[in-house]
Amino acid sequence: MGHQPYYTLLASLPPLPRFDRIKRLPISRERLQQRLRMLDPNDARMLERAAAFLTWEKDAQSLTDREMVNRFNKMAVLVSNPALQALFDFPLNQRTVMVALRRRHLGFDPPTGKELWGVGPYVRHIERNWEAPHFKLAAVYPWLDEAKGYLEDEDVLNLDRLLKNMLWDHLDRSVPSFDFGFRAVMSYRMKWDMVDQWLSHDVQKAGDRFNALVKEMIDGQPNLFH
Amino acid sequence: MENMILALGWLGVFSPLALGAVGSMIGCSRAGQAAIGAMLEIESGYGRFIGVSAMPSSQVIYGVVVTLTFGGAISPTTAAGIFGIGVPAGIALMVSAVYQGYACASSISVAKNKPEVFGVSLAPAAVVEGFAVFAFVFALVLLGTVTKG
Repeated sequence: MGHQPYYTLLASLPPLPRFDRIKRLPISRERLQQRLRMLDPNDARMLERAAAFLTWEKDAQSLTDREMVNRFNKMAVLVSNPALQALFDFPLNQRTVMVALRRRHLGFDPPTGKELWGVGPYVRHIERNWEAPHFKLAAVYPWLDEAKGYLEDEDVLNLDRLLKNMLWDHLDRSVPSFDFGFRAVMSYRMKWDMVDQWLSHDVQKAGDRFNALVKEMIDGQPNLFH
Repeated sequence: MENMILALGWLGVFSPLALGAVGSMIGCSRAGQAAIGAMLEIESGYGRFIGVSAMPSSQVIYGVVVTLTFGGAISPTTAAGIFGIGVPAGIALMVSAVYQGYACASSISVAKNKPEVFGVSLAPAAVVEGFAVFAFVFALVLLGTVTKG
């Protein structure tokens, strides 16, 4: 899985500028899904599962920590390819570290070894270094101090921007521009999801657009409600 | 023993063509797939992408020339030398075509998004082509040494 090159698919995808520098998606969800039909069926299934797993914000309210960890364990079995694993590790570790920061910020007690609260290799490390300002992970994640500052200021937008920027940089570093493999497709999809999520934050703009569409429709059909 | 040496000589004669053809197949296929993908995103200028995707075909042409030249010079005295020159030349042509395919696919993928870098983006493919030309020219030059010796 994931060894077949996708020259046609990747060359057919438009460039994705950084999520906070664009006003609209360069390729719609429908068009992207259409292009992704070029994937091998196994790779397509893998991509869908991975994309659904990584956009956890959508399910964060309805899933318990245990369910999230179980989902992670299932994904870990699926993503056995080391190259793909490198793509996954960063967002998962990022999430675990942020969960720890949030819990501490909210005044939770230090997690015990029996509690399921995060995933990845840093769980025990964080538990051992709960009192340290950055869980002794500042050397691994230099952005932790900035993230902690945004969290304490409850500046959600800038915190989200920072985390997404770090993930974007990680994807850029992990997948070279001349890569035409499944890893590049996965990276594109992860970036597309980030852009999609970021643009969906603009509620005001979405409301205006909705009103404009309604007005356009009503103006075009003056007798509709008579 | 003489037949064995002659057989190896013929292997050296045909290797540049056969291995060059294998490389060109792979290289053109990779670059061609990228060109087709780019066509889904652009409105015009398809021809230049197809042209770029055909770049790795030059290696098989070099292979044809080397094979025809070597074929006319083969004899029990030159067969060992032809084997020694032809097989590495064929490998060089094959590898250069394969990697030129990578370079062309990247060039197409980038130039589709940024048409102004089309010419510059072909530089890596042109450099790889240069190495194939070295292998081609020096194979012919060395054949002269073998036939004289």
